[in-house]
Amino acid sequence: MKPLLLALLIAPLALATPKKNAAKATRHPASATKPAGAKPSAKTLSPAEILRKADDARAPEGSFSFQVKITDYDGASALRTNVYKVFSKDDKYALIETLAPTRLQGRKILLRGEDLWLYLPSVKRPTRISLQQRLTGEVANGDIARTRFFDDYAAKITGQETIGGKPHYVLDLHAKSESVTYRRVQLWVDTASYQPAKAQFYALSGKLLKTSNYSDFAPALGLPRASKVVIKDALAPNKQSHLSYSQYAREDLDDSFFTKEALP
Amino acid sequence: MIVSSPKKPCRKYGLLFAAILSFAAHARDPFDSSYNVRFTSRAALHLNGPIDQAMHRHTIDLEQTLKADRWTGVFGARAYAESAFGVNSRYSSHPVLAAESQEFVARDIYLQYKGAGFQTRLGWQQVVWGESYGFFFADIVNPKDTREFGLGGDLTAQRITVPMANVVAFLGESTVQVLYIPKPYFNLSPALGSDFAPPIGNLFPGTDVEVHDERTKALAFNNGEFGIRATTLFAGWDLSAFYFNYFDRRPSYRPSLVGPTIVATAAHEPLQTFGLTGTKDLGPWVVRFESALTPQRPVDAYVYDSLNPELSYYSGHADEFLAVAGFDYTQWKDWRLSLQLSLNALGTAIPGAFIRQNALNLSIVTGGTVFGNHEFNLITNYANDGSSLWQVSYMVPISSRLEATFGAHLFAGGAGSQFGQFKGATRAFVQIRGFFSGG
Repeated sequence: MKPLLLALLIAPLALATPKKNAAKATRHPASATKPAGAKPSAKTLSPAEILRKADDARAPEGSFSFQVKITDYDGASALRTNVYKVFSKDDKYALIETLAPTRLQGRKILLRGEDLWLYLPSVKRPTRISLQQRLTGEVANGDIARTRFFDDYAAKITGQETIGGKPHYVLDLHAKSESVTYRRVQLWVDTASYQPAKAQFYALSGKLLKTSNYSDFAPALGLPRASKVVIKDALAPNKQSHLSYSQYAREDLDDSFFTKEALP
Repeated sequence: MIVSSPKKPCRKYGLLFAAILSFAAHARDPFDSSYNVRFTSRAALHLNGPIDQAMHRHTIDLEQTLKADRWTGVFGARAYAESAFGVNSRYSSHPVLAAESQEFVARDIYLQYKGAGFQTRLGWQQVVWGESYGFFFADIVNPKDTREFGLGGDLTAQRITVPMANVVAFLGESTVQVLYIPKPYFNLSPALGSDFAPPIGNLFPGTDVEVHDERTKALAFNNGEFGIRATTLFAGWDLSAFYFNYFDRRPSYRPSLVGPTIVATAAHEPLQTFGLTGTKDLGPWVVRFESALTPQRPVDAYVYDSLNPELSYYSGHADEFLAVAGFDYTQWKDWRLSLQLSLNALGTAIPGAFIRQNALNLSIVTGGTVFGNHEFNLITNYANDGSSLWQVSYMVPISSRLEATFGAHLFAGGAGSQFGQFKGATRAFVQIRGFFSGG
């Protein structure tokens, strides 16, 4: 099983190509998109396998934990910074604990499959919430709680595009169920390293909601993984959330760790 | 003159606290220790009538947690000092001055073990079964502190922790929870003379009224309370069914004439409640519902009897049915919007009852982030008797540890209506909170 939480966390990263690369892709006419029917140089890898490798470059599999620091910006102004610790198991269960700021400590979000609950110390009761609701800034709960695309989306290759001088597959991902955070995702994956560069997230109506850039790939639990993700509002690009991932660790987590009864 | 005799329970937490400390001292594996301390200072002014102090309260909450492998120990306490009752002459001759000017209470104090598919928690704790916002519908296990009408602070602070055994069995996506409360505790009612005092103090003009509240019953087998709840996740629905055999948390008063004084003695009758709750994430909306049936619940009423005035106040009985449906809109960016409709229906009409036979309430909860990181919240409640309650607040974070909140609680409606009866309590407040934690 793949860590869903990590996938979700990394998904925003994958969606957001590093700022520099994104700028290059749009500014340089060298960026060329091949027709959808063109044969990609996927060699023996299927779109699903490419997606799985791209997921691996965003988050590990199995049981693990990490910290993510999210800073929300409106233009150059930093609005707020929150720090979360995320526990993930088999891409199916996740627990997000707020570490900072101190006044928000103790807030938790629990994910079981596609079901989420918010626990507030001031209420001492889990409250049902949605994957699609905002956690902070441009980040949805599902962006952090579900870390991998592979289980949630069916992939096909629609072409290739050059970003930062490197060829990338353009994967078109369609949600397998209605409850996932986004109905459709376009994901740009490096044809050599299979690392995601950017992603675009769409609503059911086809409207572009957000873009996400992935960068600063650093070793984490055995593989280089994106340690920085920038998520932008598609309609108001000045509104951005910068996510920094760190402190990955393997965990031995019992399923009962991810239950409502264990939240207080 | 109005006299009250609030009886505060003498809670014996020492044994459990000693057990937690002993566990910490003898734990084979190293344990994690953490603490949270919160200071809250709130000052409020009445807005309806003379502008005077409604509250000037300083509160400290402390919670210490120790964790080792499968064991968890929690020790919590809260204390407050309230000066408005001593300063404001509208309170000074009433029992509220003595009863609510200061307090120290133990909060969650329990020892928990989790293993072999079970979670067992022993001690003073909170168990929450409801799914609705604001008012406590299916949240029936813990008695409530009703002295500030639920507006004085966090929801968790309004639950009174009680000693119980709480065992949860994990069965895949389902759970079964069994509770046993050996000694029942009851709601903490507002003292006579306070803004939210029960109406009995005003029903016998010219006569002294004394209220004898009952906070707990004796530790006896027949006084034990038992509850069971089953939950399951099915096709995205988070469902639960529960049964609770307990004593009514809400007092029903039995007045009697003792010399020149009417003495109202609180009674808490045995009850049984059956309930269902559910939630589902539908994407743009999260839906919630809860329902509870309580046969033959006592309902206080008042019908004037000129020959025996003390008998004007009486308790009838009716089957009570509660139903709540809530809808949370999830697609409004940094803002949230929740609608909640609740029905509290009595199966029998009780003349003069203080609770309407079919009480409908609509709650609208909205709020969001403004100016970067400020938070605005507005909760409006409308009752089908034409009354309403508006709660508005604006929170400004001062630092990582400090926040300031400005707000108001506005009551509107007729004198005998659900919210209008408290029009005199309409107030504006300012609050400063500090958060400290460590490990």
